[in-house]
Amino acid sequence: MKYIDPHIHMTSRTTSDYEAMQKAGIVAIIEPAFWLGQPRTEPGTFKDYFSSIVGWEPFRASQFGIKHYCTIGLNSKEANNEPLAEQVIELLPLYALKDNVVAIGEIGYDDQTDAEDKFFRKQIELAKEVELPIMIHTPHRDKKNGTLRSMDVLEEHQFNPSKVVIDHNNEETVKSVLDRGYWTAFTIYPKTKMGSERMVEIVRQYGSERIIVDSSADWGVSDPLSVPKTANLMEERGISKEDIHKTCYQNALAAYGQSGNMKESDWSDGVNYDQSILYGGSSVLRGQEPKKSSPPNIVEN
Amino acid sequence: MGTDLRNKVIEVCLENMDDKDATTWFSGKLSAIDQPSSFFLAFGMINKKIKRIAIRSDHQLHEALTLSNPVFDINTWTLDEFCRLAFLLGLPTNSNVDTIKTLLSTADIREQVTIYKSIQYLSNPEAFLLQVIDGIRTNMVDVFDAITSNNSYPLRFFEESFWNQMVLKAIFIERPIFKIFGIDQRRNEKLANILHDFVHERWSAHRPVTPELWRMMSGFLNGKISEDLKRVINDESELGRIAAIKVIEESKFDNATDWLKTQEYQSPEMTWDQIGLNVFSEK
Repeated sequence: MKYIDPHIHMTSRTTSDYEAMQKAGIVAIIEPAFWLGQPRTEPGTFKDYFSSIVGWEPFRASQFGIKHYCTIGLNSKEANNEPLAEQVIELLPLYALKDNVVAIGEIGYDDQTDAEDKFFRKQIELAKEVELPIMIHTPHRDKKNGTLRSMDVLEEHQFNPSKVVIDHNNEETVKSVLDRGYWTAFTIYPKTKMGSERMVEIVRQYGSERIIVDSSADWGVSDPLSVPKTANLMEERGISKEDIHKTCYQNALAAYGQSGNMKESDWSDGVNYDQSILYGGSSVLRGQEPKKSSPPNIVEN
Repeated sequence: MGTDLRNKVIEVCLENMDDKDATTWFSGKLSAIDQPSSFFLAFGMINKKIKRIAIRSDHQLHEALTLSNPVFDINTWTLDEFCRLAFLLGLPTNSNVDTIKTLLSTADIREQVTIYKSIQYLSNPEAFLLQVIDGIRTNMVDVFDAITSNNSYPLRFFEESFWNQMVLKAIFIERPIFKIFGIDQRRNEKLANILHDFVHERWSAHRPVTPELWRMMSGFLNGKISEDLKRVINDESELGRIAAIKVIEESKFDNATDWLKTQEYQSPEMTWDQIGLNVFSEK
């Protein structure tokens, strides 16, 4: 089966992860712009970070046959450094229209401060202007209120719920998010967010319409194989193939495909640059052959 | 030349658009770009407005572009890239360096590729030398290829040390050197000697070397390089053998020529470009 992981921070991951993901059937990923674990202090570090997720990281992923997309945005945590945030907001239009950008995100609330609210609203307006979907990060603390407030603000700005993915849901938020017409994503992340067994029960109870599974794997103890593992568990526990396909592939494609930048054909024939046109169909080696396994102590020459 | 060339490019862009929305949008932007911010936005919006399709060109366009780049090939361009070329050609020469520098520093892969393919056609290409040299330092293969394939820039503007770095890197990252314009013309002794060292590094590591590399030795044989070639003729792949014989025949270095006469061999008919093509079709 093929999978999409629509929320994973590959900047923090190794090539072994890419190899394992490719082997497990992941064909496309979305890397939301986020907090790197340590607050940035200069706009230039944001700029270089954005450049890396529209340039270098897609290239790195392509070497493993994985199509890389990203979202561009100022995350809620760093929105609290207002003078810096103002400068980062100025950078966003330079990146929002890039080739692999499928949404403005991840944006929303962390502590639910006034500064977070201000920059959240600014970015909703940016998404409208550049006609992109939005990826919402819901807070770890006071999650339920933060989630409801995010939806209220989006609706106040008359942003269409069918173009918004609300992420990091749990049993307490799922119903209201689904009822209000949003794509409803769940992060399978050990200890702090959802476990895969709970995810199976959610799909059993709510079905697969507008429900999306992701890993949010990053610099913390997390698992870049959360999506395929959860899919396997769903199968073991009797969830239908169709529901698995929708929650672990199709819904993410439908939601972010609304950007116009994400299509199945991007990966179905390999993930390289427009090779067929550029090289007149002549075969030029790009990327790498999938690796063979070597004996444990031998590093390939 | 500047405006004529731009008008010709615009004409071909419009001829190749098959939907009215694209034509209207593109024509509108051509006159509306008056400052960097509107240029950045339009350059980015190409993604959403213009299709990535192959383009048909005509004789006049070909003539106009081959003035800057004798190896211009329309098959290496798609419509969206060509529209971006039209925008780049429209930037005023006095400020285009700053604008393009900013653009490069925020560009995605596809944009970088297009910019590096386009710089050679601007009216002040020499002003972008540092940017292009920096482009060669990339690890993104498509970006590297944009500068080294079908591009006249390195031949026209790179001094020897940068030229050599480029060729060496192409060999190192296994990119075709036969696509580098001027590859034979810019051969030099220093490069031949650097490559000789490179070959020995590879051999010590029990790794093969690309047969294309021997092309750079032609005309610069010495005792050491002759020994390398003898080894290749005895041990390496068929293409390596052909390449090594070719170098000896071309170089007229007595030591090697005399040795070759003692061997059983056929004079190769393959050209260097054919050897390169074969190397890359085997992969």
